[in-house]
Order: sequence, then C-alpha cells, then structure tokens
Amino acid sequence: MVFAKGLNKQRKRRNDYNNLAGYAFISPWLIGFILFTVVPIGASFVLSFTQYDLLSPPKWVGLENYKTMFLHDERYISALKATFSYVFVAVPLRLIFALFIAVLLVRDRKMVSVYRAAFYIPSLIGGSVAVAVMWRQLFGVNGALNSVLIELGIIDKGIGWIGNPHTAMWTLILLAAWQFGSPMLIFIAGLKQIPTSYYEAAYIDGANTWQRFTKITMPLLTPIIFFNFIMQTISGFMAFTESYLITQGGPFDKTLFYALYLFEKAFKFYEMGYGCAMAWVLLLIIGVFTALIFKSSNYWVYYESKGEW
Amino acid sequence: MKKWWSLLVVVILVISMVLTACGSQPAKDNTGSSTTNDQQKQDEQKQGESKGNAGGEKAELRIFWWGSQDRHDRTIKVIEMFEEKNPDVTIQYEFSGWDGYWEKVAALAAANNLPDVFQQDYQYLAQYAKKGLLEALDPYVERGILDLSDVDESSIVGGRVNGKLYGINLGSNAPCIVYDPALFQQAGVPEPTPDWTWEDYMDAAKKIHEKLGIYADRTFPGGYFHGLKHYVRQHGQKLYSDDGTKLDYSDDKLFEEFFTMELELVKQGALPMPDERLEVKSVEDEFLVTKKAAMAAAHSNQIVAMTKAANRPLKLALLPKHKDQVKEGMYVKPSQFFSVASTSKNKDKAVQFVNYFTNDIEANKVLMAERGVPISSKVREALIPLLSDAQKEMFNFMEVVIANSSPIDPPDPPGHPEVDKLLKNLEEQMLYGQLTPAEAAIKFREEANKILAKSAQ
Repeated sequence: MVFAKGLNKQRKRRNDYNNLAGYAFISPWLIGFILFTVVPIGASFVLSFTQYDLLSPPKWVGLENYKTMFLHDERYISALKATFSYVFVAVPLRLIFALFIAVLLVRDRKMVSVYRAAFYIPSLIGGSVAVAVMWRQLFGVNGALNSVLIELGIIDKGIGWIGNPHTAMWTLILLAAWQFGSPMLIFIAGLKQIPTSYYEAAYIDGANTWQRFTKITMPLLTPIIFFNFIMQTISGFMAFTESYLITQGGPFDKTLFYALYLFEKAFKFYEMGYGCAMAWVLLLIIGVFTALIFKSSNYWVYYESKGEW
Repeated sequence: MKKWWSLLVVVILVISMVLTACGSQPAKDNTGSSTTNDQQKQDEQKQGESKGNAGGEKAELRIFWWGSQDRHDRTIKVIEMFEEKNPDVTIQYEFSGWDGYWEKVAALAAANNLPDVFQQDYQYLAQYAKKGLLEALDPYVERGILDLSDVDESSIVGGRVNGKLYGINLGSNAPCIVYDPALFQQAGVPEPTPDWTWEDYMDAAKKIHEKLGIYADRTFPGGYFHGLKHYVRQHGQKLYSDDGTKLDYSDDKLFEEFFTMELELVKQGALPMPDERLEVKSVEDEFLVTKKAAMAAAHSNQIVAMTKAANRPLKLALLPKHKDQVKEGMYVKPSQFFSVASTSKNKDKAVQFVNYFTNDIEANKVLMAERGVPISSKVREALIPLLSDAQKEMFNFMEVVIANSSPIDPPDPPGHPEVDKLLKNLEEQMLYGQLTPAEAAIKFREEANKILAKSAQ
C-alpha cells in the first residue's frame, strides 16, 4: 500500500515534469497567443468604452460609442445594410455554386483533379490586389464586359459597373460567388462519404437523377452544408478586402462593408474607441447569427449517427 | 498536483504578459504606470547630459518620411551628406508610402517613441501640435540654429499653429489645373490667363467637349474639396472655423452654387460621372495623360510626373476667379513639413538637420524640388538653371500663385478626414441625382458640424 502510494507520487511528479516540458515547448505559441490575441481582445473591450485617438490618453466615455453607433451614425447604418445584403445574397449563391460544381466533379472522370484545381484557384488568390485589378478591368467602363455587351448591341455606351450605385454591390457578390473553391472541396469530400450502395438501391427501384439527388444526396449532405453555411456566414460578415480594394466602400457607401467602416474609423479618422466598440458589436452579430443557424439545424440537418454536440 | 502546476504556469505567464502590456500602453496621466515614469526620468537625465557636454558623445537622430522611391533615394543621399559634414551625428532613417504612414506615426506617438524628425502634412499638423507632440521651433530661429532669413513669410505661415511654428515647409505647391495647350488650341479655346473666371472655365469646358468630343476635365477644378474651399475663400469666408469645431462659412448658397456648376457640366457630358472617374488609379491613366480630357485637377508639383507620363508639354493654370470675388481664393500650400518631436533627445541637432535640408544648396541640388518649390529664395535661384521644362513651368507658376493669392487658412482640424469623406459621398449623391445641391448643402452643414464638434472634444 505504502509502496504503491510512493510509486503513484513518483509517477505524478514525472507527469508534472512532462507537462512543464510541454508548456515550455509550446511557450512560443502560448506567449504569442496571449500577447497578440488575449491581451488585445481585453484591451479592445476596455477601449470600446473610451474615446481614444492614439495620440492622447484614452478618455472614458461609458456607453457613448455604442449609443452613437445606433442613434447618430448614418454611415454605420449604411454599413450594416451593405454587409447584411452582401451576406444574405453572396453566401447562399456561393454555396449553391460550390455544391453544383462539387456534384459535377465528384465522379471519376479524366482530368478531374485538374478541374478541381482550376476551380479552386480563384479562392487561393482570394482578396488579393491582382484580383481587384482584374475585377476593375472586367467591370470598368472600358472593361471586357462592356466590350461584349456593346458588340452584342445590348448597350451603346460603357457602364461603370463598379462605380454605379445600382451595380457596385453585385460586382462584389459576383466575386464572392466566383471564389467558391473551399466550400466546393468540402462538398466533394462530403459527397464521397455517401455510400454508393444507396444510389444503386435507388437506381434499381427506378429513381431518376433528380430524385436520387433530392432524396439521397441532399439529406446525407446536410451536416456538410451546415458546416459550410456557418463558416461562410462568419467570413461573409468579416469581408473587408473586396470592398477595400475594389470599391473603397463607394459609391456613397453602397458597398461600405462593416469591417471596412471599422478600419476607416479606427485608422483613418483615429477613433480607436469607436472602432473597438464596432468590433464588439460585430462579434455579437456574428454570434447571434451562428446561434440561430445552430438552433435551426435541428429542423434540417440529418445525422446518420445521432451526434450530440 | 498536476493541475496546480499547469495552472500556476499559465497564471504566471498571463500576469507577466498583462503587466508588460500595461507598461507599454500610454499612461493615463504622468503618475500612471511606473515603467513609463522611469523611462521619462531616464530620458530627462539623458537630455540633461547631452546638454551638459555638448558635442561630446555621438548624437543619434531618427528620421521618418513618406514618399516615392525617387524621394527615398534623394533623401537618403542628403542624410549621408549631412552625416559626413557632422561626424558627431548618426542618423537612422525609415520611410514608407503615404499608405500606412499615419497609422505608423500614430502608433509611435502612442508609444511615446516619435522619431526626432518626421514628415508632417497640413491636415495632421494641428492635431499633433495641439496634443503637445511637436516642438515649437521659434526659439531655434531666434538662436540662429534655424535660418529662415531667405524665406518669405507666406511660405512659413502654413507651419504655424496658434501662432507658434511647428513645421518647416519642405516645398510649396498649390491646388491648380494642369492643361494641355495643344488641345485648347485644337478646340479654338484661348488658354487660361491668371484672370480667368468661373464663366471662362465653364465656356472653355463646354467648347472643348463640343468641338473635340472628349471630356473637358476629369473632376471639377480642385476636386470636390479644394474646389469648394477655394470658392468659399473667394467670398471672403473660411471653410472651417479657427478653433476647428464647426463650419465657418455662413451661406449655404456658396455650396449650392459650386456644385450646381459641376452638375451642369456633368449633365452636358463635359465631365465624366463618378464611376468613370474611379478608373483613374495612377498618373498614367489620368484622363489628361491619355487625351480623354484636356484638363486635370492637381497640385502644382504633380505636373512633373504628369508631363513625364504624357510625354508632351503640359501647362499650369490657376483655379478660376469669381467675377465678384472679395479676395483671392488661391493660396500657397506647404506640400509637406518636417516637424521635430517634443520627445526628441537631440533637438538642437534635429533642428540643425532641418536647417540643412532647407538652406543648403548642395543638398537641394540632390533633392531637386521633388517635394515642391523650395522655400528659400537663394536655393530657388541656384536651382533654376538646372531645371527641366516641367519643373520650370512649376517654378514660374508658383510666382503667379504668389501674386494671385491670399494667406492660407489655418491647418485643417482633426475631424477633416471624416468631413472630406462626407463631402465626397454627398458629391456622388448629387451627381447621381439622389440629392439636389440645396439639400446636400444643408446635410453637409449638419453632418460636418457634428463630426467637427465631436473630434474637437
């Protein structure tokens, strides 16, 4: 008994040493995480109750920033509108597109991996400057789209799609839909998980392609759709580069994304406190939407093995 | 046991991180955190030392500016020349483009770590000076470290905030119109004279558009902001009040008139809509350069780059006068300043460097007026024989501006960048027919006053 206890202790001590060594090894990450993530998060929360222009010490203003945001800031409301319309249109479009291409590419054909890579490339180059330049070339007044439309006789003078208040948002939504690569890959992985025996059985029973898609593929894919839906919604709310590089929020704030306005307030107008407050409200918005999607999943997501989460 | 250990490690890590992070944040007041206090004391001590044994140890200066590669090369060369002449000074320098420069300077200011000498802009000067971050340079002028005897007061005044000198102008320019004389001739329109009025401009614009089928200009003269400012000044008023807490001009009619003129030209097709204006991202695709327009709104020093891109002679014209103007709307604008940080440990040396930059002829032969027309008359004289045609046009034009200008308004208030954005949005809304100029004028006053009042707190 005593002996066993001693052994236990020894083992425990060794365990402690092992743990310590473990912490030592991950300390570069841990320090970075705390220093550059945890501390800034805390600081931004405190700063969201202050007026802080970086040049002079922060001044405590209580809930003033939050009040201004909802009651006195027209541009904030425009930013909300732009972001919501972007998320509500671009995310479903991107998912539908991704699913469509994934269904096409899941079957083993010649060169299928080449196609997959080709469709993934737009997502790789993401919100880069090169894409922004290309988009401006495509949708500019002298851009490719106008040339085609003029050639076809549909219009007789170039339209500035990016600068026009009615179409600017659509160019960004189109860009988002075009960059469907990462949800597509996840869909392909999900589609491959579905046992072929189901399809064979349905085929024998005389189900046509559409029936097989709606009765087998869709239900079995719902967990993947659910995952993609959440991830894409979150990244949709945080979209920044597209509007920063292509439209700069214009024309008159029609494409002023939330994150872009936050950046403007904080770094262009030196209203750090306000920027921080905006960031926390964005977190709240994303949180609410994620929670709603989770709640709704009870009604439409089907798990083969009843998963608990 | 095991849990305790790991918890302890984490807690210690967190606490140490939090403490160090707090230390680097700006203290709320001078008695705030001990680390900053200690550092301040050390700084003061060092300052005392360097004053005590002047010239004993090597002084170190840090210099920071924004600009193009061309500017970086020229400035670095001058820094090396200065070091050679002053063996007791070593200079560390840093540079960047305009994008990101102010974010970085603000962060350095927050960390109490501003460079000894750094480039300042007219729209930020007041903000930095009022926060006590810049050294007033008047005493150095009195002590003869900074020599401004060859400089005209009109070139100095832009660097003053509340009567004190916080920035030395590195070159003068002015908002202006760059035009293509050949296209004017082709359209049978007389070239602008220094006396041309808004009516002349409107006529010229319409004629150029009718005769040549191109745009007359890419934007209205001066763009939405400088143009409106100019128009308000012509009526003897100011855009911003002296304390920067509100708009100063009293009559919304001015706003209305100005944008009504622009709207008229846009409706006739003599000016492009905003969506097309957007296409211009660099000098190379400026409509004037690609012959899609006969004029362009610019600052006078930009003619050098535009001429180079267009590869044909271009000329400079004043912004139009108003036929009943009360005073000249044009003014000499400092293109940028050097300011000395109030936290600098080697202020004398820092000012000496600024002086070298301003007055030394050899240094300015390297700089070659890249930042605008030098403020020292002696330097200007020395440079004239060396100038290219476009530079000559710029130098001559500045003489015309000086003869047709009134003193510059006080530096833009802290809320300016946001007001500028507001005006841009309103301009676009007017051009797309969503607001009439009269409605926009009222909205501008309301919103701008709100922004200005808030940022002045």
